[in-house]
Amino acid sequence: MVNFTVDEIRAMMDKKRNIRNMSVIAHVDHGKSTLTDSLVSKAGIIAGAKAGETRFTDTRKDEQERCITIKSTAISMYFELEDKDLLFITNPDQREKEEKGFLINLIDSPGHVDFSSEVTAALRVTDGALVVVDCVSGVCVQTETVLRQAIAERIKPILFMNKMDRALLELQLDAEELYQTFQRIVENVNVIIATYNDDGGPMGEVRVDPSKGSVGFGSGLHGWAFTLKQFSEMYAEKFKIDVSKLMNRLWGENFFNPKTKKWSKQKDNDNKRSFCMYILDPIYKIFDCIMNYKKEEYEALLPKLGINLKHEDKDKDGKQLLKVVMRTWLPAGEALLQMIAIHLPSPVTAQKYRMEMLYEGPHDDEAAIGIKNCDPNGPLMMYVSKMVPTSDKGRFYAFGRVFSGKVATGMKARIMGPNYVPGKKEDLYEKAIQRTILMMGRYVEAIEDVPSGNICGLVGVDQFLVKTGTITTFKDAHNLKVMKFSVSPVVRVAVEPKNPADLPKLVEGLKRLAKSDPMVQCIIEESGEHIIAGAGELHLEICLKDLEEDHACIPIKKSDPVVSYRETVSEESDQMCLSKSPNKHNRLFMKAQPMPDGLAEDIDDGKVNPRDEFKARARYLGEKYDYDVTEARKIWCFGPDGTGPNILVDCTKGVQYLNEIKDSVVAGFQWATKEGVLSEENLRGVRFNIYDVTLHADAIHRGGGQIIPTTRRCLYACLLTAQPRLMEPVYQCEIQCPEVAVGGIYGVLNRRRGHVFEEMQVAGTPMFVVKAYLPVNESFGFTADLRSNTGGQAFPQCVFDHWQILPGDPTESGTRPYNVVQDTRKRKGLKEDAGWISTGLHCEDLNYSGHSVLNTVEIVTSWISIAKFAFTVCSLFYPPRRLDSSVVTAALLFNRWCSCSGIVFRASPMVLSQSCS
Amino acid sequence: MPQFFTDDSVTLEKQIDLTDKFIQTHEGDLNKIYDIDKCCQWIQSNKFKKVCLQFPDYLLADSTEVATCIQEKLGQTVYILGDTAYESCCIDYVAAAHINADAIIHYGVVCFSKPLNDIPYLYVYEKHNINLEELNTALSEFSIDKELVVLLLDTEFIYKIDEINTIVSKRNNIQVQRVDNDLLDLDDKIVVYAGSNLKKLENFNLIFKAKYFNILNRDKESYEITKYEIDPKIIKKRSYLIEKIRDAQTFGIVIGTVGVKNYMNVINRLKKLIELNNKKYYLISVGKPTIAKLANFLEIDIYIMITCSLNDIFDSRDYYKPLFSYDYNTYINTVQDINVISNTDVSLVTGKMRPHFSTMENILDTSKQNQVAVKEEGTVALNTNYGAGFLHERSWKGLEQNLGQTEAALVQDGRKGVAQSYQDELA
Repeated sequence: MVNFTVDEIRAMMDKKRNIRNMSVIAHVDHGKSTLTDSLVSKAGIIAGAKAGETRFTDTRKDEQERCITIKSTAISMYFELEDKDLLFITNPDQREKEEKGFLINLIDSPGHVDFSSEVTAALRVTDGALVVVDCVSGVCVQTETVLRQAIAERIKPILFMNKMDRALLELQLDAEELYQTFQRIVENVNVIIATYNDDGGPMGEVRVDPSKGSVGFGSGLHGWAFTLKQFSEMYAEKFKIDVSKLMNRLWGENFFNPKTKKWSKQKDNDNKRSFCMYILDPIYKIFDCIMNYKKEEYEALLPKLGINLKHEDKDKDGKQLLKVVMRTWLPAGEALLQMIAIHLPSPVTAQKYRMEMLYEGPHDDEAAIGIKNCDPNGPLMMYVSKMVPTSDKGRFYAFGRVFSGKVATGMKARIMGPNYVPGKKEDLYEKAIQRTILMMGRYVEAIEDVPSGNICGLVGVDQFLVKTGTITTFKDAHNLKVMKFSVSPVVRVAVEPKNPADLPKLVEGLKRLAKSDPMVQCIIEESGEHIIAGAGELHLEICLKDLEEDHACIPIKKSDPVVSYRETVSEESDQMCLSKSPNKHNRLFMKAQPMPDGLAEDIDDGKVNPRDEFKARARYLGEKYDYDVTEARKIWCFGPDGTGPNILVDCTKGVQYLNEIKDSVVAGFQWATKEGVLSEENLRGVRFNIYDVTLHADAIHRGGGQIIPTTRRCLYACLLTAQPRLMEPVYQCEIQCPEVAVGGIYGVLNRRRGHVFEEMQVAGTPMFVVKAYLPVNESFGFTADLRSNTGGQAFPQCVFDHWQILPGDPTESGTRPYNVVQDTRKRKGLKEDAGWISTGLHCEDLNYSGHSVLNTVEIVTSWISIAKFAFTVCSLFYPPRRLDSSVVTAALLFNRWCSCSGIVFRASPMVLSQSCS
Repeated sequence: MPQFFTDDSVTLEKQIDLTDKFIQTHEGDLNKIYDIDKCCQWIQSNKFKKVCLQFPDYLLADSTEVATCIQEKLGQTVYILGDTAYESCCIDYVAAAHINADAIIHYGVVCFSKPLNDIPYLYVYEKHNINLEELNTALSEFSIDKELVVLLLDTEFIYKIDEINTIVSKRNNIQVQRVDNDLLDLDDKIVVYAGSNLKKLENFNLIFKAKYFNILNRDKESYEITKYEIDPKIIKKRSYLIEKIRDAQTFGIVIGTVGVKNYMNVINRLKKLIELNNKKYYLISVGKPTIAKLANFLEIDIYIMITCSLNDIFDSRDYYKPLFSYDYNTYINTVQDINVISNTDVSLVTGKMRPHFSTMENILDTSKQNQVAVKEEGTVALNTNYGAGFLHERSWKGLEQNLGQTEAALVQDGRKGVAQSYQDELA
């Protein structure tokens, strides 16, 4: 029986200090959904006996089948806290007076890295996080990732050590070993927290501490859990000590000598660690006597612990009995609820320090103040963090958090997409909210209105937002900040309908898919290919399945997965590149050079961005990257899309009319950085310098038509003369396995161009953790390969880490990057091989060292072979029919051209004469 | 004054795109190939005084001989029209009007677009070789089942139509049709296209709902009839273009013909469609479009070119913004339909939301207050969605005098000449 009604929940929503918005986050398979069941069952939504097996928040069929959470799921629950527990809540912002009910809005998130965008979306709308760690495997890569994200979003964590049953039953750790394991996990978690949080910061101290009760222990599967608070309450009377004081004694270097009844800070022969003695020993004892079927023993023991078994449970034995006993003794729901209510912040507390992280606008406008005070009477500010599919195909609930004001059914609101800029109309709609709803796992409940500090869903907003957005009633409101994902969509597949006539359905399906997942990208490329880009193979697999079964509902053909590459340069252009405009009246002189290490990442992270104040940015670039400060002040733009990791710097001195062509040059730069010269992939980490510009005195002769294509050609020339390179995405890959399997891992990684950079044993366990970098391109089928080579014992978690240069010259046939470029060009329907540079490059675009001989001759090839080049030169220089006699002349010409133009090509002219004669 | 004029050599040395090979006919074949007798007869019987001979670029080599020939036979001057303003497959009545011509004789590939003006014209088709025996065997291999097959002859084989008819007449299930037949109807038929212009075949494919199209392959020794299907690349490319069109807010309608009948109606229809979708357009006439010409309009998202049906699609990737030929109009139609059904839509190109006009109107109300507020601050309206609002986005807003900011310097001798080559540079 559900022990609360929607009306009760609605009433609680107004008591904003008694609300807890929280997400459950962890590494994959550490037991989030299972643990969540304990709370769900406490709320009466599922039967207690079924808790741990139902995984109520895994609402999709495939989630149940695969036993993996794919989508984050929200559920609202109502609980009451006992009076004695209420005393632990001291902050007045954390509790309404005279109110013992608490509304917990919980979001269960997926643990697999491929779905970590779901975690990001969940974190945004919550204030606290329950970090679940499997005490057998310890802190894993994804634990760290999600924890880091949480801290960055100013989400307060509490810790739960899960799977204690395994530690006891499978690993048979003794009490002290188990304590050490716990201690280590707590330390590890606190190290991560300390790395990303400043204790003096607005959130204050966020480290977790068992003696404060912010760390829980237990087993989600068996449905029991405790914090030190539970145990100290049991012992408080006996010791006649205050509960919170006793909690301090029950953790850490506190030893008790039962004979002398003395506490000590040191381990002696006859004293024992208090945690082991008072907490672990009773648990061990129960485990021991029940699992070893010592019936008399446990029948005597249970009443001592105050456990009265129900009649029907009395006949059980072994594991079944153990579950019942533990669940009755230490109900998980109760412990979790106390942790959540006492240690996680209410919206009132959290929004005070979260506002500045959330709001893009001025921090003193109405919206900002409304958020800061979590004011239900302020202007509405709601952030929609994801779209949840409805039973009505193609429609979605917009799921999000009300930070200020109140959202109500039928109310008219401004819907602002991520591209909305205040004062403009792009990405702005004014519409009525059709309905507000409460998300209850797999069910929804209609609700009249939702005040600030709560999580809810909206109907009728999905048509105006792609994935996320801000909903407000305040006309001068700025956007709430767009979420930043820890993963990137680097793996791509091309899809097409099996039956070509289904194309419109596919397109419609792709649009729905784009909405339903926070991160997936559905793109149509210029060649007309439909691409789905996701974080990894599993992510794509799920997306494709959803597309086929739910969104497009047609059979689909899919290509092998490919990765997207980036183009870059490895050296400065070896010569000044000159391009002349089509009317020959304007000249651009530019060079390309690689950015210093780290700058591209700084731009990605927004540490250097186009909206920075230019002087501050120049100072930063000067200090960190040794950039000339005067030049750095003249960064014209970032690209592609105005924000990407490439820059265009004006290094000219005193050029007339220069500002007038800036828009055209910028347009050409955006174009060239979006579609690089090698295979029309985005550029990355390239700085272009404009050194000189000659312009026609007449404005009409230096318009966009003359400058835009010329800029593009000039930038291409810069790239080609600066040792162009391809970059490929690289995963950071963490593999956990027993020692025997480590050898197998190395073999598989070596074959896949991966390299191990860290290998260590998880302390207290026989498990090893291997950390490696693995090119994404080599990761397809990696999981299966790894399993077959380690007897199924190794399980990798791969997350995109960085871009890395693919060694080799892409202009040299036979190299790996060359092949990649050819493949990409083929896929995109571009001219292969010779077409590469014939995108309109003139040889003058490639060189300038005074005078060029072949002013208008198109260079069709630059890398194939010198002989072929000579052939082209002569065929262009002479009418074709005189070709035969002119080979030698061509060679001579080429010779002359090379000698007077600062050779572009590395082969010597001598080779040329030989090959031609 | 080299500053103001482009050097002659630029025009003379300009590279032209030679996709078609020049053809020079042997003198003895001229009459046969160019139907000179027929032309003379046509001119004489209609008593035309000023006749223009229109040649496509690749036949220009023969033009003088043909003209001389006709002049000798008729004893009157004829005029050669070359370098047709837009496409050489259409009747270039505009050029002919410069000399008030009475009639035009058109040589080369024909698109059968109706000219705007009812100037009399005569088409002289190309004549390609065809091996009738091979055709016969190919046909007999193909038409085994009793279904009716239409053999569609393109212009270059029409001169052989009688011979082909005699071959075909032996079979009951083959029918010969000429492409210049105005009442051409290929619906529900099996068609074998004999010709070399794939673009034409593609058009037929789009116009008629034939059972399926086949093409007569003459590349090898023996002829072969194979099934024709539109290149899936073209379809894919188009689906990309549809998305682009739907994304576009500002259209450039490029006039790519002034000779084809109804081109103004088409333009008007396009304008109406664009207006209905609450988008902006500019009408642009730049002669033959080039990269430089079309890159001058920064704010235009997409160009739609109004041309005859045989125009090459400009799929060069050097254009700053994509360029479509007229048949993409159909897609604007679909855009319209879709917009009526669902209000807004996600773009697969940008991944952003596409605004819809009904929602835009809504916004107009709300932004009124905004404008007042903005004006109080003494700035111009921020709204960029109409008029020349885009200019607001540009970084350069007019001449900057920078008075007092630039250091004074002595005047120095600069380089002389223009940027294409200064006087102190080697030629």
